[in-house]
Amino acid sequence: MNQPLIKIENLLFSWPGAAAPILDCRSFRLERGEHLFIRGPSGSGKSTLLGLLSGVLTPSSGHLLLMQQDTAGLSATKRDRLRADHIGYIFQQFNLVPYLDLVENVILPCRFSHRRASNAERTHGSIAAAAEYLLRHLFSNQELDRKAPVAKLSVGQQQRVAAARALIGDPDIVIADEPTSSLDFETRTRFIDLLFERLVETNATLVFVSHDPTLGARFQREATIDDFRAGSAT
Amino acid sequence: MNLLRLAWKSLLNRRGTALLTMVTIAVSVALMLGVEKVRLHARQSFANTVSGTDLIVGARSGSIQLLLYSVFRIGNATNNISWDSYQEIATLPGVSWVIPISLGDSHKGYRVVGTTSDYFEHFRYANGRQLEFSKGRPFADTFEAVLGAEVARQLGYKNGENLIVSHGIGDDGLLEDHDDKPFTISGILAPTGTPVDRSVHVSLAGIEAIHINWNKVETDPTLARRSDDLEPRAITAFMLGLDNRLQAFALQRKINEFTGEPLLAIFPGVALQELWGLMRVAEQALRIVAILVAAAAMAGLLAVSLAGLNERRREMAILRSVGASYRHVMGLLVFESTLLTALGIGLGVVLQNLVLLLLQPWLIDQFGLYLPLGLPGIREWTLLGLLQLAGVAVGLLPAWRGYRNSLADGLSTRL
Repeated sequence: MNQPLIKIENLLFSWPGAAAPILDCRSFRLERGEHLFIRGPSGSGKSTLLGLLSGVLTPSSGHLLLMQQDTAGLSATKRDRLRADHIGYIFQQFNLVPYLDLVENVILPCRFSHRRASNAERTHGSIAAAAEYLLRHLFSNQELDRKAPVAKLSVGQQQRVAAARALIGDPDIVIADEPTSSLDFETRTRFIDLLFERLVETNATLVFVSHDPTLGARFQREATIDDFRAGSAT
Repeated sequence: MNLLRLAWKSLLNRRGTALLTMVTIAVSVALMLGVEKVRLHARQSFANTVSGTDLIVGARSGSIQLLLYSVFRIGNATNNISWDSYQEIATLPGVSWVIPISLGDSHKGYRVVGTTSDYFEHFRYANGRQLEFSKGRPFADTFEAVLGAEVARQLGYKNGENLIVSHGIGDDGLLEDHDDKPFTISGILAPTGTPVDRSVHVSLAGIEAIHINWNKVETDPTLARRSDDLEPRAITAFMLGLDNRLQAFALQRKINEFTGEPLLAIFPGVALQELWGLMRVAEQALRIVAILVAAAAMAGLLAVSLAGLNERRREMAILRSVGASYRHVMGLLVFESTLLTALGIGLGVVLQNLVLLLLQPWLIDQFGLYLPLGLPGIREWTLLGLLQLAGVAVGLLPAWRGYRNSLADGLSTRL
């Protein structure tokens, strides 16, 4: 039985105090291993959608099932747990905690999720080895000082560290929120290549959001933010 | 790297403000502890200073003033008592013993007390303890002196050495010396923790002798020694013990209505109570200042936490994205204010002791107040416990704000 990792049914979401819902989605499924590209400009409800998909927000009505669990019925703590165990997250920029070194940043999710810590240990022997494996692959063509302050890294390097962090402990879903919009064309292509390589390795699912439509061609599946927005035809 | 280490590293990353906040808390703690210590030990040491004396008699002035100059050797008498009046009262029926006190001279900043050997026999302190000699014996000759423990220790005097008494009280060097008539140290008293430790005791005759032909350089010192009329004309005050304490009220009235000259007799205990009353105002003021400083420190902690919260929105969003729950985020913030308060309290205890270590000699010198070093007592720990609770409570507001932020921000890090 192949269950979808994310399943949406008749979802409506409105911010408290807002007159009309911002998101309205009848039906949506994301299967294991799928790479989904969602196109949408900033301020289009994209952050809200990612908040829902990562279990930070819950639907105002309808259902959003994350790993077969209805987020509406879960406590905030349980949803946080679900996110820690199953989701890797990459921001547009400023991904790294400035007072932690590079490796400490990568292994951060293993501190909040036993599942990902034990995944990393099972596959690579130790959490440190898992971090090293990911860093070696993501920085295959670069020398990297593991103990350098993360603020010293270039934006492209920071995004790769963020990718390593999102991937450590083999989460089921990686959510990337405009991860390449701070990068130049060359770095962008390389980043997406590296990300795909690692995702395929663990059969992880990707939700990749960007305002740049040229990236969409590289994904198996494409959507636009309008598919999830209220007032748009679906 | 558990969550506590994460919190610690985050705090270390902002060590400048964290350190300042901690120091502010430490200063308030040191102040609070200092005030409490002064309160406690001032009372104790004052109450220990005089014991077993039924009445103190001096020229008519305020009762607190009389108590201060006669017992605590603080301030000066405005007037003396004539030797005749003293004799008259001392020989009244019911009077068991008297200790005359003649003040006005000093030795290197320590007061010289003219008295009789009755001083060493009848003076009592700290619940009836008698003065003891650590070395030597009471003065027997006109030019012999008995030193308090601290005088001997500070100035390094030994039995048999000579010292010169200065005229008047105040800074050494500005005073004129009675250097034509040196005194020989006949004894050194054991420490008492009272102003006795800081006194140089000589006989009344000695006081008279050094003032004979005072300021006339040509005087032959042996003249004074040979003088047989060394009976004092006046003394500063005297302490008095009765056969029966019940007579104290009657005698007090008698002395206060003395016809020869205006005199004042006080009960030391009653005067001490009056002194407490005076000091209570100062105590309360100090306490309020200490509490306000503590409140200001807590307000500072709150301000720093809240200001830091905005800077840390990104940090919080990152932690949320890697799986930290809002409880973790709140925990981090509460942990921080709790830790800063705890460290501030620890530092404050150390700081208070350091300051005390530096001020101890001066406090003894100026106020006769001995404040021991050491850890706070139960009462102080209670206060510090309350402060720690306040520190935790102060962390709750930023934590709640942080929680609200994390809801509103979702997982976005754009600022």
